[in-house]
Parts: sequence; C-alpha cells; structure tokens
Amino acid sequence: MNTLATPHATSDAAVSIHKLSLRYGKANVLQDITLQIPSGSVVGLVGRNGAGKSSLLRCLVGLTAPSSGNAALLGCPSNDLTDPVRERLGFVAQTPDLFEWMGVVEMLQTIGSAYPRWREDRALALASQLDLPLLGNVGKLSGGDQQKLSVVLALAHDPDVLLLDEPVSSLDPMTRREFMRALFTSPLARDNAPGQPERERTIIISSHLLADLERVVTHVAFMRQGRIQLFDAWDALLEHLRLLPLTQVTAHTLGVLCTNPQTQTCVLDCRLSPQHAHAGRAMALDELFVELNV
Amino acid sequence: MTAKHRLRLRSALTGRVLFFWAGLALFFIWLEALTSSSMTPTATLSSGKVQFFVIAAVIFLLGFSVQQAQALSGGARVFRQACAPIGLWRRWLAKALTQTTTVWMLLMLACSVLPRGTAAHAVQPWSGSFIAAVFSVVLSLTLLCGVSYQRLLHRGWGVVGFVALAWMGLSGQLMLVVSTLPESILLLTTAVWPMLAAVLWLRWQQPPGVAESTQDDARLPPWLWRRLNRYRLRFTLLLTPATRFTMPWGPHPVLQKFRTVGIGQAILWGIASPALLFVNSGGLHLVFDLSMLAALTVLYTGSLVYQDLSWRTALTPRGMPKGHLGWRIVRSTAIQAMVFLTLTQTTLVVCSVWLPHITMGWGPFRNCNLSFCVGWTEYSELLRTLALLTQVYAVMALKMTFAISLATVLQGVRAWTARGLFALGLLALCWAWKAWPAQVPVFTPGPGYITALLLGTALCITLANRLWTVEKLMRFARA
Repeated sequence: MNTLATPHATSDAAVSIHKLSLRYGKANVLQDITLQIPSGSVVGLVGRNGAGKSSLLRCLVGLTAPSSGNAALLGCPSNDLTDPVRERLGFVAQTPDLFEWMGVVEMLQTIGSAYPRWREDRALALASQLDLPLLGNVGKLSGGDQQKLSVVLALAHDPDVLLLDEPVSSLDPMTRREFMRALFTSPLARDNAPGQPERERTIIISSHLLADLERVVTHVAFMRQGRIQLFDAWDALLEHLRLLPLTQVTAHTLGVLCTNPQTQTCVLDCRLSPQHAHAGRAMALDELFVELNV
Repeated sequence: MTAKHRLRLRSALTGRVLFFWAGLALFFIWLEALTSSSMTPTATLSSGKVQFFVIAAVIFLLGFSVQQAQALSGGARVFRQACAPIGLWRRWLAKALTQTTTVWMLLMLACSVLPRGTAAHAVQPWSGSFIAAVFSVVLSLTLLCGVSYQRLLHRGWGVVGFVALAWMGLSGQLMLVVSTLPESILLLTTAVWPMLAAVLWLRWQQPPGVAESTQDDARLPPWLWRRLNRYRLRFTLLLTPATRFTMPWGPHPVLQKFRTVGIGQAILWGIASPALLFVNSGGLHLVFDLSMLAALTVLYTGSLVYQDLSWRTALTPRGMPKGHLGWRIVRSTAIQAMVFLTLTQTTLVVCSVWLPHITMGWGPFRNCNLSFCVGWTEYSELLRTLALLTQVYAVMALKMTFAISLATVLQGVRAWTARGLFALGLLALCWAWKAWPAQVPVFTPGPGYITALLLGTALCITLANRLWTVEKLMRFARA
C-alpha cells in the first residue's frame, strides 16, 4: 500500500500537528502524524472504525495526551490551551457528555456564561433550526436531541475552529441538512469587529456519511491504522486521482496509491504520472474510501 | 451573555435529601443553643444527645461528600469535553469547595456549643474539640474517597481514605485515646479540611482528567481485575431514574447510582451487618429480628439486580424463561449479597482477630474471646468459635435470601399495593415494639425458625415468579 500525505505548509495554519503518536499499552493508536490545516478550510476526516479519528481529535483539543509529538490549535499547544483559544474553539464529541439533571436552557446558560462571544439569541435560533426541544431535563432528551444540544453548545459562541467527531451519526436526514447549513450559514451573522477582515472558520469533521461530507469539504484526510493515508484538497483529489484498470499501469508507474486485486483496478495520482491524466475515471468520495481501504 | 450565570452543582432531588440531613443537624444546634443560653453547657448536654448529633452529622457528611465528589467529577468531565474556558471550571470548583467549607463551618459552630476539652468529663469522649476534629477528618476522608472513586484522583488515595475511615469507625479504643489528646493537637486536626481544600484548589486549577477505564485497567492485574469487573458488569440494577419514583421506600438514588456492587451497599452493610447478626449468648428477640428483616427488605427493594439483562437474552431461546424470572432475580441479588456479606464480615473477623486491642468487638464475635487466635495455641477453642460463626452466617444467609425474595415480590406488585403492604408491616412492627418487652418472646433460632424462613422464601419466590414478566423486566434493560 502506497501512502501519500501532502501537507500544506502554510504559515496561517489553524491546526498543526507534528509527529504525533499515541499508544495505549502495546497498541499504536496514532503513528507519527504530521499535518497542517489551513485557516478557513473544511476538512473531512475519514477512515474505518478504529482508524484513530476520534483519538486524533481528542489529542487536538487536549483531552488525550499524546505519547510523543505535539499539536497546536491557533498557534497554542493542544495540551495547554489558553482561555482565549478555548473561547474560539468548539468541539462536539462522539458521545455527548452533559449534565443530565440540568434543564436544556440551564445547560445552555451554564456553558454559555464562560464565552464572551456567546449570544443567547444565536443559541436559541440554532436550537430552533435544529428542532431541539428546550423544555425538560437534558437526561430526558433522546440520543439525537442530546447530540443536537452538544452541537448548539459548540456553535453558539461563534467559534473560529470547530472540531466535530461524528456529529451527525444520531441525527435524522432533515436535521443533518440543517446542521450542515448551520455550520456555514449561521442563523445570525457572525460577530466581526468593525474594520476587521471577516473571520474564517476552520472545521474538521469526522464522519462516515461521505455523501454529506463530499458536499461541504475543501480538504479530505484519510486515516488508516493510526496514520494519515492521504491528505489533500478535495478539488485536487477529484482532478488528479484516477481509477484505472491494472492493465494500464506497470510496476514502474509512479503515483500508484493502492491496488484492488478483486476488481483489478488501482488508484493513481496523475500529478506523478501525467501521461495517465485522461485515463480511467475520477471517483466520488465513497468510492475512493473503498479503494483506499481494500 | 456576559453576566455570571449562577451555577447549580446538583439536581433538586439530591439536594432535598441533603437538606433533610442538614436540617436535622441544624435543628439540633438550634435546640442546644436555646437550652444552653440559660444554663451552663455541660449541665444541658447528655452523652446520648451528643451521640445522636454526631451520628446524624456523620451520615450527612457521608452523603454530602459523595454528592460533592459527583458534582466535581461531572463538572470536570463536561467542561473538559466541551473545551470550555478554564474560568468556568474554576467557578465550579470554587462553588463546590465553598459549599463544603460552609458545611464544615456550620459543624464547627455546632461544636462550639459543646463542652470543650477534658473539663467535660460527663460527656467523654464527646468534647467539642474532639468532635470538631472528627468531623473535619471524616469530611476530608470521605471527599477523598469520593473523588478517588470518581477517578479524579489516583485510586490509591481512595483506598487510604477508606482504610482510615474504617479504622476510625472500628477502633473504639483508638478514638478514646485520640479524645484525650491535648486540645492544641485536636484543633490542629480540625484544620485538616481547610488544608485539603487549599490543596485541591491549587492542584485543580485545570479540570482534572477523569481517568479512562482502559488506562486504569492497565495498571491493575488483568487476570483478576478484568475478570471481576466483567462479572460485576453482568448485573443490572433493576432501578432507573424513570422508575425509581414508584419505589419510594428504597435507598436514596445517590446510593443506587453506585450500580450493582457499590460503595452504597458496602457502607450500609458495614453499618448494618453487626447489628443484624447475633450470637447464642442471649438468644434472639422476635421483634428485633422482624425489624431487622424489614430493614433488610427495604434495603433490597432498591438493590435488586438481574444477571445478563439484555434484549438479546430476552430473544434467546430459554434466555428468560416465563415463570422463573422471580427466581432469577432472587438468585442474582443473592449472589451479590453473599459476596458483600463475605467481604464485610471477613474484614470484621480479621480485624477482630489481628487487632483485638483496638476494635470495639462488633459483630458475631463480640462475646467471643478471639485473642487466642494470635497465638494459634488453643485449636479446640478456635474450631468451636469457627463452628459458631459458620452457624451464625448460615442463618444470616437464609435471612438475606428471605428478605431478597420478599423485596422481589414487593417490586413485582403495583406501587400502591406495595405501599399498602409496607405501611401495614410498619404498623405491625410499631405495635410490636410498643408491646416489647413485656409480651414478646425471646427465643433461640432452631429448626423451626429455619423451616419458617425456608417456607417463607419458597412462598415469596413462587409469588415473584407469577408477578415478574419479561415485559416488566425489560423496562430496566439498558439500551
């Protein structure tokens, strides 16, 4: 299996990861990950179950300490995030952890009180957009509604960096659509200081719903067995990655990312083999996912 | 939203129970302050009243500390996961510590109305400074156990705290020695809580990480801990937040949160088991025995468990056989209860054997001279005592099984029927206590007693088998 990670070494990286590894006992959960995610990008983090997506996100927000290497959010080390950075950060975990005995509004107010940019009207508008019931206790909400609440909690302070760990896994299709809208078109305008350039929101979203992801991402990071298998702009991947029959490549062909012995096909990066630029065909995200994980 | 939101650390339900105990302790303080205003303190206080105050306050402290530990753990978990600004966690921590310190100060205030130092010989060992020191240490140790149980601190701290608490509870003579210490040392001991609060405040400027179970398990011997833990997790407590309101006589939900085998049962057993057991010296008082059976039944109505309760078991052929579910509940709960009985009583026996000079002589061995065991010389006496203990525990096991089967019946019937039966039983016991000791017989448990217990158990299990259905049971299944 060939792997290719093409990090964008930009100076304005919102998220940077350098040689990050994580071990639980003898298991290598994350292995030597290096990544630069530019500001304003929307990164889809995809991979099979157990590939290390959640662990990577938890390392990024400092919930899990890496065994080696480091990560930084908005220039601040992940394991020691300062309050100004936390105020610009939103995180939705795979399993929402909430005060189950609190009322929904009380929970919103409790968390919201810590953020200067929090606006109650924005929180309520988001809740309305996602059809989140505001009455009753958090513990009485369904799993999907608890997930909606954690999404509202992560979005209502208008964060600059948003990390989402399978946020739509418990949501119905209608709510998923509204959720995706909320990520990019906030129900109320974003808070920009007068005279300042518009703030860009960087989003990393881990999900198995690839069709949803495909519509919104600017970049895609494929993970496999704790490593970044492939990271690039989605437009570039669409343009340059081709699915070819194995008969069209030889052992000396450059840029073969992976081969599929069942279908006798391979994925080729045409930037390394320009002669194949018009051979084969481009792939959708789910198709590429399957080919990379055979 | 920039205005400071008022943080609420716990639910109203758990707050009400704490309020009850706090109210009880405050009522006592008020009563004492009122009566001592016209007389000298030593003249107004009796040892019994002081003991009542101490017991009420210690029970309050146990519940309060558990609640504070849960609040701290919840705050740390939620705020960490939300990556919220640290200020929110610090406010949460400050509120928890302030609340605890307020309770500590109220207790110190209460102690100030009690007699001070060794001058109050009439109520020894319950002098004000001694009680203040005890409260402070109990508060600190229980909180330490609580936060350790919640994985905010290393488990070792919890073990140290628990051993120290158990030592304090069991070693009557040690406490007597402590009570005679100079007042300056007692006052210094009273400062244990403020010191612990300061340490926690400094240590937890960042939300503490709640240790993940995988990491915790990795530190423990896998061959023992994992197997025990997996076995423990097979038992599901037949109580959920949605159903607990139909079971008003069970233990408080705070205790029930310690799912299946938990500290709640351990504490209850630690307190209750010595009183529930008996020796052959004075026989058994019928009303006392019935009262203890009723108490056990109440305990088990909130502690019933079912082994391998899952929709998968329900769908498996013969997984949940109709007409046998009552027996399955009794069996599952009895397994846990026997484990607890064995653990607590073995601890007590070992303490009594190896530490004969500092224990108060609680439990079934209180009338037995166990000090010979240290020398291992008089084997015949040892065997006789062991035979006696075996007999005592066998009867206790039968009693527990009866109480469990009765609790299973009570949980199987409709809520109002159960409440009616419970009220009737309570009335009958009240009447019996009123008649005691003139009309109620004292007896020695024999074959008749054992037979009655066995028949009662069989009857209850038969009833329980009729009452419990798969549908009823599946309401308690985890999703």
